[in-house]
Amino acid sequence: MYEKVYENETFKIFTDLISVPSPTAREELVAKKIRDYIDGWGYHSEQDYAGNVLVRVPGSGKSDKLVMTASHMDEIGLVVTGINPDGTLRVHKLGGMLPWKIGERPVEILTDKRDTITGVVSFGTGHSQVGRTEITWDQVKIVTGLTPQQLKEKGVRVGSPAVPASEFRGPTVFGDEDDPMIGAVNYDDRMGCAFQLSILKALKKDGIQPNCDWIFAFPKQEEVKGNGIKPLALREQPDVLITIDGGPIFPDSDITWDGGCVVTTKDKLADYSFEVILAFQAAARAVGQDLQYCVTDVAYTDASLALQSGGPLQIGCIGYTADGAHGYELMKHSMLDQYFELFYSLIKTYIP
Amino acid sequence: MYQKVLENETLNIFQELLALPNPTSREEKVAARIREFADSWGYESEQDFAGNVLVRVKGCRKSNRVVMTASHMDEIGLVVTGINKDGSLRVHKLGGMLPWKIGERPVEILTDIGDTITGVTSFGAGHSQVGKIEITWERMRVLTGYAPEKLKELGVRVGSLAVPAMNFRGPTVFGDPEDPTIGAWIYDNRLGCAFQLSVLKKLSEEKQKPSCDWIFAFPKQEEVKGNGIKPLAIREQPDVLIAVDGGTIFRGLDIALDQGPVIKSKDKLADMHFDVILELQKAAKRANLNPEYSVTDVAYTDASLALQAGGPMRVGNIGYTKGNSHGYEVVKYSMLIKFFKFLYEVVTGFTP
Repeated sequence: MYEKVYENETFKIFTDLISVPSPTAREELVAKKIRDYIDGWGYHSEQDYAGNVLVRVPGSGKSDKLVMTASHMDEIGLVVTGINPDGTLRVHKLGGMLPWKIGERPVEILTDKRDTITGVVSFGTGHSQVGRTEITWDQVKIVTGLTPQQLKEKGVRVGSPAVPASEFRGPTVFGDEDDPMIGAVNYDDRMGCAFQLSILKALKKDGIQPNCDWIFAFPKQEEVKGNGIKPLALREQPDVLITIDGGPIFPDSDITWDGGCVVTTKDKLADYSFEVILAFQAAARAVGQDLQYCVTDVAYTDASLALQSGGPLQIGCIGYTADGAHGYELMKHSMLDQYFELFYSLIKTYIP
Repeated sequence: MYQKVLENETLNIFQELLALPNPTSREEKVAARIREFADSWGYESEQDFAGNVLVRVKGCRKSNRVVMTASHMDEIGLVVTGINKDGSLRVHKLGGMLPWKIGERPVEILTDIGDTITGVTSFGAGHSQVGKIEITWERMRVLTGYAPEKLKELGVRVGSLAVPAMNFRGPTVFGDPEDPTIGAWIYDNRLGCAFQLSVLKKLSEEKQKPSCDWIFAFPKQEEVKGNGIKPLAIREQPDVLIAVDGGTIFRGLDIALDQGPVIKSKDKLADMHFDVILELQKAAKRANLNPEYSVTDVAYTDASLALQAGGPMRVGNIGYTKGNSHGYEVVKYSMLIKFFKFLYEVVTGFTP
């Protein structure tokens, strides 16, 4: 019934990327998948000593500036803060995870042996929680079915991260067949990575060069203070850094599912460069699309984080419209085509 | 690694029942499957006008009393309380569901035209939910991807019910291979149904009889005030009614997952009958088991609910030890073995 979704190139790549865990600081599996895609299409991917992945695509020379687009590889999750005598794990958030969003479900705990073990998130007996409304991490534990000694032998310790188990991540396709809804735990930001990868594939296939040298970057650790992009942007010093990430539908914003892709003009950390916003507008006009605009004081992106440490000179952020940020995130099928088209148009039209 | 779990008879039956949505008052699919199981082993199952399923088994008349064991078919879920203009659904709990336990995940919404449609529970953008906030049902909606008019056509309305989607229910086997932990959304109480069915199967295979005339009951609607067992118990008037349900580890109890099974002594509505407790102790002893005992003021069972309505003369309650009640519940593999032995001894040796 939803064949057109399953045949979409970006969707297929995304589905592959979310099949492996990639919590902040443990992005090695998704990094390898990303490099395999890139190298498979005839590019030469690189990985810096921090673990960030990048691919340099030479421009046609219409501008001598350097542009970097960045979609972070890491995802939010849980981090082990203690091990109880019964082998259950005390946990806290990794990045912006919220206990009521993850709910009770199986998770994969990443071990020091570079594999995973399964556990189940638990709030304890539900019968005792009637009337409660304040939910904190202190109420959450992970049941492992192992003793503390067995956990130690398997390489689980304070600091081990965990994410929802792969079979419970989706994607789930549902709703109106004309424009279905797609849900998954969570897009942020392997969907951005999938968009960058499908653009790279199209550039190669179509023999198109950007107007200037371009770095497609896949940084680590965005969800914890952008600690991947900061050293990367300082070393590469792009003139323009553009974040490729979700455009969340914040409460009380006018953003709608079908109103267009989302340009962030201001976030918690920075105002985005006016010239870059105008470039987004030109790219949208070229393909007959409308844009939506977002200002927020509750979120940041790799671009505004990198600007804090002085890496880029100008920044921008263009987002695929999505709801349910930091949970089972949702977007419309039409956004897959729309965002790809806009991003491709940006590469063709942008002369910084 | 977990082969023995996957071969367990009770778990195999449970998995079949788990694959069917059966929120309170919409248990028709699981009822049909339970009847198929019972009839295939040579029993003549019945279904009363309320929808409760029962199997009468002649006993060997050690006593002329009638005993009924009851494991309810229904599960907790969500109920639609309103439909928003954007096609998202406002929801509230059905039974003892808690918003932070279900979290954000795909759900199946049962329609009036005999089908289900998929939706996703959502708390909205996570970035805006930092700090102290109250987690109530008002914060949750179910995104459907359909317009209100289309939802009407599909048979979704105020009062429609929803449960977690089948692909996201488990079971999940994990932990120590010697005694694995098994998680699922949710046991309560299709695992009780599976135990009753596997005991019925063994009785048939071994041509054994219960100690007295016995009714194996599978009532509807336990999760909302026991509205299935009440008319059933009043009509059948069993001398003894024993609820076969989860042995929840309530807060303050010293029961571990690998201990039990559980004999409940007192719940929110009733004291279990002393002579029934003594008979259950004898059954545990015959099965070489060490039962644990439970008291609670936050839960009830079909037995105590039926007693409120005057159906049975005596009541008891036995439970398979489980954690995480009303969420992604967990049991130990060894409990599958132990509780089956226990229930079989109760059925073949209980002398009222």
